[in-house]
Amino acid sequence: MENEELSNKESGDNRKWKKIYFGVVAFLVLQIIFYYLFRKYFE
Amino acid sequence: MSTIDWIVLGLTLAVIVVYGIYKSRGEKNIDGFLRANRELPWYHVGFSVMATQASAITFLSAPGQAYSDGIRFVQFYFGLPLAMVVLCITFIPMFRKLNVYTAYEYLENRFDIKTRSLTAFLFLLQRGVSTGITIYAPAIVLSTILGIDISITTLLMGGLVIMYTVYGGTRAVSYTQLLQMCIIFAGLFFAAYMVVHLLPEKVGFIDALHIAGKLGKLNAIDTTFDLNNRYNIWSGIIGGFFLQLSYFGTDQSQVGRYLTGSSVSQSRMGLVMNGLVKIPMQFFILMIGTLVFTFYQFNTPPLFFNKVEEQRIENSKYGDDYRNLKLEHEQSYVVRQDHLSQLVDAVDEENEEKVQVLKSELLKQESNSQKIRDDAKKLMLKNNSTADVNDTNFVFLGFVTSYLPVGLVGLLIAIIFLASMGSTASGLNSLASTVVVDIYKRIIRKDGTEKTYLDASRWATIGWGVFCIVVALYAGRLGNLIEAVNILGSLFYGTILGIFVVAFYLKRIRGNAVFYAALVAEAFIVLAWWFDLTAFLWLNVIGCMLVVMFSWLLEGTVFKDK
Repeated sequence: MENEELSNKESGDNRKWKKIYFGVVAFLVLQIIFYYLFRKYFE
Repeated sequence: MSTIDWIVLGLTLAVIVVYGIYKSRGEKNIDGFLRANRELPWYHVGFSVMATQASAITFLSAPGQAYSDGIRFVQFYFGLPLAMVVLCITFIPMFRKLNVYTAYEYLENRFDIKTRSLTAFLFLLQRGVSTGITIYAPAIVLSTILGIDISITTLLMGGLVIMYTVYGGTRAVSYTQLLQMCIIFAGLFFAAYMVVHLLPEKVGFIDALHIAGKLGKLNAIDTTFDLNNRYNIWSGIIGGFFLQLSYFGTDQSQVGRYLTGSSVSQSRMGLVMNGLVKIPMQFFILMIGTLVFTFYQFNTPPLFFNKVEEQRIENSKYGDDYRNLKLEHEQSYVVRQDHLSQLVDAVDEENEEKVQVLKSELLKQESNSQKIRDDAKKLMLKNNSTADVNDTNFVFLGFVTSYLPVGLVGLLIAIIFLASMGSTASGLNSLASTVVVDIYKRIIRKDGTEKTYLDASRWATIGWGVFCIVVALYAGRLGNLIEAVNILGSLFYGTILGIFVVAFYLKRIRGNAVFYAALVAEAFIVLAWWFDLTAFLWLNVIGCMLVVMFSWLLEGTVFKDK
C-alpha cells in the first residue's frame, strides 16, 4: 500500500515536472517568435 | 563623481559585506561552508546561479555591444533554457543521489580517480585564470572612469569578496548574491527610465525603438547559417546549448550553487527560474544599449569612449589629425538631426515611403560616422600598436557619468562592483571546494576532522583569492586576456561535457576509455583552435562529440577485454 502511494506520488511529480519543462521550451519558442516580429516591425 | 555618489557607492558595498557576514555567522562545518547544509530555497538558488553567470562585464559590455553591433547578442543565450531542462532531468537527481560536494566527485564514482583528477585539474586551470579576469575587466574600466589607479579598484573588489567568502562560505555567497541581484535590477530599471526621460520631448519610447530599428540595431534574429558567424539563431541554439550545458553542468562555480538547494525540487526550480528569466534579462540590458544609441543620435557622442586612449592620441604627434576627425564627427551628427525629426513624424503619420527614404539617408550617415570612428582607431594604432581600440565597455558608464543625476551614478557604479563581486565569490568558493574535496581530502589527508577541512577550505579561499588578485594585477601586461579566457573556456568545456555525457548516458563505457578519449579529443580541439577552423562556440559541440565518439571506439577495441 505504502509502495503504491509512493509510486503514485512519484508519477504525479513526474507529470508536474514534464509540464514545467514543456512550459520552459514553449516560452523559449514564443520569445524567438516575439524577437523576430519585434525586428520586422521596427526595422 | 560627486560626494553623494561616493557615499552611495561606499554604503552599498559596505551593506553587502556586512549582510553576507551577518547571514552566515556561526558556520562551523564543511557541509555548511561548501553547501550551506543544503537548505536554501529555490529563489536563492535561482538568483545565485544568475549572479554567478552575470559578471560585471555583462553589464558593461552588453549595452556597449548593443550600441555598436545591435541586439543580436541575445541569440547567444537561446540554448540556455534547453540546457536547464536537461540539467533538471539528469544532472541534479544524480548529484543529489550521490550526495556530492563537487561535480568531479561523481566521476570517480562512475569511472576512476584519474578521470576525476583530470577533470578537476582542467577546471582549476580555467576557472582560476578566468576569476582573475572577472576582477580585472571591470577594474580597468572603473579606474578609467573614476580616475583612480587600477590596483586600488582591483584590491578593493578582490579584498571585499575575500572577506565575506572566507568568513561565511557558500551561504554568504548566496545571500549576498540575492541582495546584489535585487540592487542590480533596481539600478538597471532606473537607468532605462532615465535614458527614455532624457530623449527629446517629441521622441517617446516607441519612437526611440523605431529609430534604433531603422538603423539596424534591433537585429535580434539572424536565421542565416554560417559556422564563422558568432551570433545567429543556430549557433545560439546548438552551440549555446552545449556551452551552457557544460558551464552549468560541469563547472563547479555553478554546480556548487544548485547543490545548496534544500531538495531536488528546489534545485530544479532554481534552474527553471534561470531558464525563464535569463533571456528577457539579457534582452532588457541590450535594449538599454539601443536606447543609449538613440539618445546619442540627438546628443553627439564622443568620437571614442575611452578617455585615457583619447588623451593619449591627442597628446601625440597625431593629435591634430585626431582633432580634425573629431570635428568631422561632430558635424556628421549636426546634419542628421533634421532627418531624425522627419523620421519620427513620418513614422507617426505612417508614411511608409517617406520612412524608407529617410531610413536609407540615415543609414548612409551612420555608415559615414562609423568610417570616421574606424579612421580614429586606425590613427590610435598607428600611434601605438598596442592601443586598446575597443571602447565597447566604456559606452554605458560613459553615458552614466555624463548624463545621469547625482546618486544614480554612484548606484550604477556600485552595480558594476556588485556584479563582479558576485561572480568572483562563486569562483573562489568553487576553487576552494575543488581543491579541498577533490585533492586535499581525497589524496593528501583522508582522515582529517571537520575542523581540519573547514580550516583548509578557508585557507584555500584566501589562497585562490590572492592568486586571482595577482592575475588581475598582471592581466593588463599580458595583452587581450579577456578574449583569451573566453576561448580558454571553450577549449576545455566541450571535453569536460563529453566526459559527463559518457558518464550519464553510455553506461558500458569505462574509465580508461573515457580518460584517453578525453586526452585525444582535447588535442584535436587545441589544433582546431590553432588553425582557426571554426568560431569558438562550436568547439564546445565538437569537443563533446569527439569524447563520446573516441571513448565508444576505444571501449569497443583497445579496452574491450580489459
